[in-house]
Amino acid sequence: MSWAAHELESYVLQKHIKTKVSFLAILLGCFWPDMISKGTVYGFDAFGFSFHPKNPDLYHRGWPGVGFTHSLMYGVVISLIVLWVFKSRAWALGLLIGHWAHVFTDICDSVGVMLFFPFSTQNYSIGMWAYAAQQGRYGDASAYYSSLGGVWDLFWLGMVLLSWKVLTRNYFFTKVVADDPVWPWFKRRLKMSEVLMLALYRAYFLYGACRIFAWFFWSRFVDKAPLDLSWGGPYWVEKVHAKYPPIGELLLRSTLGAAGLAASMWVLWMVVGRRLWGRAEKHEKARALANAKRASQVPRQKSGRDMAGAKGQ
Amino acid sequence: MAAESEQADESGGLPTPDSSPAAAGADDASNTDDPDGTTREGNTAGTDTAGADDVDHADGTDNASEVPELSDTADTSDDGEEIRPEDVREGVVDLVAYAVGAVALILLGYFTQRDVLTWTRGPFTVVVIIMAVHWVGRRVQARREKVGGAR
Repeated sequence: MSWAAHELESYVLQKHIKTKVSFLAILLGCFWPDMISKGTVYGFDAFGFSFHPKNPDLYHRGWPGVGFTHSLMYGVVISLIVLWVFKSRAWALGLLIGHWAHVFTDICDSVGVMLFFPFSTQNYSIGMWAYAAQQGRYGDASAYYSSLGGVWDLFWLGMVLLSWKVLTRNYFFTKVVADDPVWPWFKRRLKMSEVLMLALYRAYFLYGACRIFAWFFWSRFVDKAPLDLSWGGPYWVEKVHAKYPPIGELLLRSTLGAAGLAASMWVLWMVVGRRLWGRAEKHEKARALANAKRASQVPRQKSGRDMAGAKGQ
Repeated sequence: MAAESEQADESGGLPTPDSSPAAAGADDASNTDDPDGTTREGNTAGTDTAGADDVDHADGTDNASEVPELSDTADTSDDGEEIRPEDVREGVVDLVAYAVGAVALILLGYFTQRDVLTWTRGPFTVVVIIMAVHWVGRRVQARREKVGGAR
């Protein structure tokens, strides 16, 4: 799993996607798979109830378990539900992009993800750093920031800094706010000031960047974990890996999984997605038209009032 | 119409999107009567603060009532040109706020770990620090203006 990369990649993705897409949706999509799974992966005790998965890696990324949250199909289903309920293409697309970014990022650890679930339960991984949820929260943090995982986070921090314009006030108000109806809603309904909105927008960058250093220093000076920047490190963590069958079977599983995913996505699009997309487009156009009407009426009323005032004088 | 749109916002949970910047601007214009602020909404849509101010001048609307709403810490000055030094001051306060936020988060994270370093508590802490520094900045500025006025 990745730590700060999930926050940081949202900023880069929002900048490079050429169509209208919600930043908040990308951010939420990047968090989504772990939001609903990670709490239980480490185990918890509450109100006399105790839950500690025997194999956190299998539970988190496999089936049976909550591994389906890290599959491409899950992102598609969630996006369709959002498109259906909220009629917002920017949010549906943002959630899908954010979710898929999380899934592809998690391929980098040693356990990987079930990309083609439910058509295949095969995990795919490049094993760049060791998966360490079985070590508990702190052990996981220590292992991650003692391995190439920390370098991966730094890579994304560098990517955001290279795209530094995404953090400017101007970019936020001209691009992020303009592409997402939620920000004006925050302002209108919650009476949020511009300073607060901007702080909220930048907060996840600052949090992502700072947690890299906080956890890194903690691992070095408090936990005193040895740094190991070799592929698949750190060496001192209990190894758990994605299990691969013989190459022929792997190819067959992958082909069937990819074909099943592609076919089901096509069917979903033809049966549901296309209609919902069209409906959302119409809804957005109607909304824009209503806004334009209101915009044309308000100045007229205003100038009418002014004229009346002038006559009265 | 405004009521209609607000109903739509409530029914949809999320407000429905405005598909173009022009529409966003239109939405902002529709909030002109909102006591929360006219030109501030315009700024949110990406219009230049000074530009929004110019528009108000051109319309002949009551600048004295609208200019203070240009920004959260807007001066009471009626002249749009006089906002610039304040923008600079705002920028400096912003920089200090984010620097303090970053240092505080790293230190708090180092010493308290998950008491601060979670996806909810971390950003919340940052936002609170930034807003607190801005609040202090406004207080300091107000005091300076008071002292300057007394002299």
